[in-house]
Amino acid sequence: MLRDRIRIHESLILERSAEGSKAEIKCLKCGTVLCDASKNYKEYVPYVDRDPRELNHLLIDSAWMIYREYYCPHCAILLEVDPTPPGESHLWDIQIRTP
Amino acid sequence: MSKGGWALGIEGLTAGMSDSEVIEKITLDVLNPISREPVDLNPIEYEITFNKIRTILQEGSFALARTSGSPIVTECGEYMLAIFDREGHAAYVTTGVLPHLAGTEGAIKWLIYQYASSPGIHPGDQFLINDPYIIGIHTNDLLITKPIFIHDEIVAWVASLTHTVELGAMEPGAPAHSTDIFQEGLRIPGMKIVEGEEPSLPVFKILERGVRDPQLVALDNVAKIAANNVVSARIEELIKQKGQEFFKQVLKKMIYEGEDKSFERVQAIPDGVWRAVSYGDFDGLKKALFKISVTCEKKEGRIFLDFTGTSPQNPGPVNSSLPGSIGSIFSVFVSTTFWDLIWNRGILAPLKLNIPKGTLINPDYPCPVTAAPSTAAALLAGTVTKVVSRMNMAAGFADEVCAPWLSNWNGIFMGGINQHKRLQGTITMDANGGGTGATGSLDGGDTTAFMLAPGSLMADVESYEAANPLLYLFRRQREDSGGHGKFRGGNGGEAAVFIHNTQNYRIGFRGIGKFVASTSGIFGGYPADSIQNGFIYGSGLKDLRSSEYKKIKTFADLESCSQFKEMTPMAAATPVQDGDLYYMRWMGGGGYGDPLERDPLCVARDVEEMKISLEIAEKIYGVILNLPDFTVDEESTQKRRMQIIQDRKRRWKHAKR
Repeated sequence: MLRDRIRIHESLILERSAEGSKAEIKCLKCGTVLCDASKNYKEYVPYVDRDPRELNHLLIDSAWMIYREYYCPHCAILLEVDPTPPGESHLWDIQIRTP
Repeated sequence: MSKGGWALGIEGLTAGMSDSEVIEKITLDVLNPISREPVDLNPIEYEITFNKIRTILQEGSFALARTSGSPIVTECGEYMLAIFDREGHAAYVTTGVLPHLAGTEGAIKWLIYQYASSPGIHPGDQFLINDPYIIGIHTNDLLITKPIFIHDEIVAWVASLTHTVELGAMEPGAPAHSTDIFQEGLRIPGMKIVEGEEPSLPVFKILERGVRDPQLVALDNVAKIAANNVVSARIEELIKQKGQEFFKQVLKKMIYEGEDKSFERVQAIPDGVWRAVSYGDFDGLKKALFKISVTCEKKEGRIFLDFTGTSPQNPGPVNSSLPGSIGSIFSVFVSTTFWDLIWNRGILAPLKLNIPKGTLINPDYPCPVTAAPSTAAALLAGTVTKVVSRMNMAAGFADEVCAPWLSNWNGIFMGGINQHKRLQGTITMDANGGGTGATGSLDGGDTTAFMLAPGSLMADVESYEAANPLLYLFRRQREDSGGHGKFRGGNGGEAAVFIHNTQNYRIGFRGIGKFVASTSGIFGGYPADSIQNGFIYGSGLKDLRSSEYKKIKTFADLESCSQFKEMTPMAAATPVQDGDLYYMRWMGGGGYGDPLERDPLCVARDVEEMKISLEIAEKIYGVILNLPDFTVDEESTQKRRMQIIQDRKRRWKHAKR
């Protein structure tokens, strides 16, 4: 049985709506609903493809790897940094089954 | 089924199978819960005896560490002691090189299968085995196991393993660019090194003549034999006191308890799917992008780990054999979700694995694998840590959530004629002081540990200098090397080392994670910075007066006074001369959470302690400090953090609207 509120991430919570009909993923910091719990939140939030050299990671080959940063669309808290080759799809890293 | 008719009880194991088929069956059997027998034990007596067994294994560990002369064992602690039931089921492992628990179980079953009939397994025998396709990881990890007999019946097995300095491979220490397993040194699928309490001199002679450092290899083996003897003698005493049936039941109960408690814990995890991908950048022969991909699903009370999508096996030794890969997964679970349970095979019982054949984490024999712990196995552990930590968060196991620890292990391999005019092949293990991953309440440890061998250490500089023709110019923590975050990944380190008092020596490098970030952060934490390797030839720095060379404290200082020759992450051993210098840096751990959420006072402390640079404090953490007293300028910090948020909003784009 799915609990009504599950903390699925440092900054995200999965919460069932008051009427219990659907579950959503929300930002813990500002309460913004990102998407339905059955979706990949990364496809519903803004992101930046950052060149690793901006962090002084000077030996990284930026043709091979960027740091893809995902943010809450409202409070802009940094939700995830995926080190990934440029052009990769958005990895669905958290997918809780909701009955 | 076994050649000797000893029922191992492994489903599908039949006569006439090829060695590879037998090894696969035996290896995967570690994931199957054992068949249950009735156990009737007083719970207090059980707990007392279980703790006695733990203490006995610890005593064996001390015997091993005191007898071996290899700094890798005596100081770095690269060894493992474990006890198994009659059929080879792993009942308890002491800390050390954890990935070998699974493979050692397989090795004992293999020995029973192959040799129970001929030459037979008798009281006082000890078997030597190091085939990486049977025990996992690489040839350097040499296992000696002893059956414990009571009245001509085996009641248990004790096994000791060390990372041995050298096994006679194509390069000293271990090769960086082998293209098959036959180039990776002596590979022994089981021989009696002790027969009826008598050491087998031919076996010792094979090892003496087959390796570059016969003294240390022999000492390691004598140490393991001694450790096994200590443990078996104590277990025999215990059985005399408590009885054979009681002891057998205690071992069984230890395994049952491991299984029951791990299954019980899994019930708290909500059904769901977690995914992670990690990348590597060097296949042993050339720069090459590859990945390990995992989908972790909790359903039906179990955890399914599917590695479909992982890259094919590499042409060089950047691969991990199946038992090493299962062991690496075990290392993650035993360090996180199940850290407080009995460390035995029971922890693997709720797991179902799909590790496709022909991938870099389940390569086809005779693919090279010697760099497994530096590369494929370490990257695998980092990748699994990401999914397990996300799963633990959803389960409410917040204390068991962490970013990956350093997910590679930059090693320096070397050999030739050392300062004592002795033939040598060896390795320094500075990367054992890796940065650990940050958690939801703590920064990662700076230069602390390596997840595949959490009990292992970096030896003192002086030990390396005494044993090898080396002089350390510096070995230090490196600022900004850990992943940034609300909680910071532990920093890795860097070392600059002179070649000293030899004219016949070679140095090689073995790591990944230079051109890509192989150690990720989690939940908004950043990846750790890259590794780096290289040489300064004929620097003349060694001749400087101490007051002058003490000023050389960082890589930038080195670069400013000499020509640095950048090397690839893995590089075959090349000749060096007295006065040449190698430089290497190893990784930190991943960060946790958004760096803008980090307490500015912690950032100020980090800058003052040279954990992070002033530039990164401002650019990534948005913290402005008053110098020289390192206090936080609160107003400027608030403005800078707002500026960073505006910058994020200015740059971001949306996948969907």
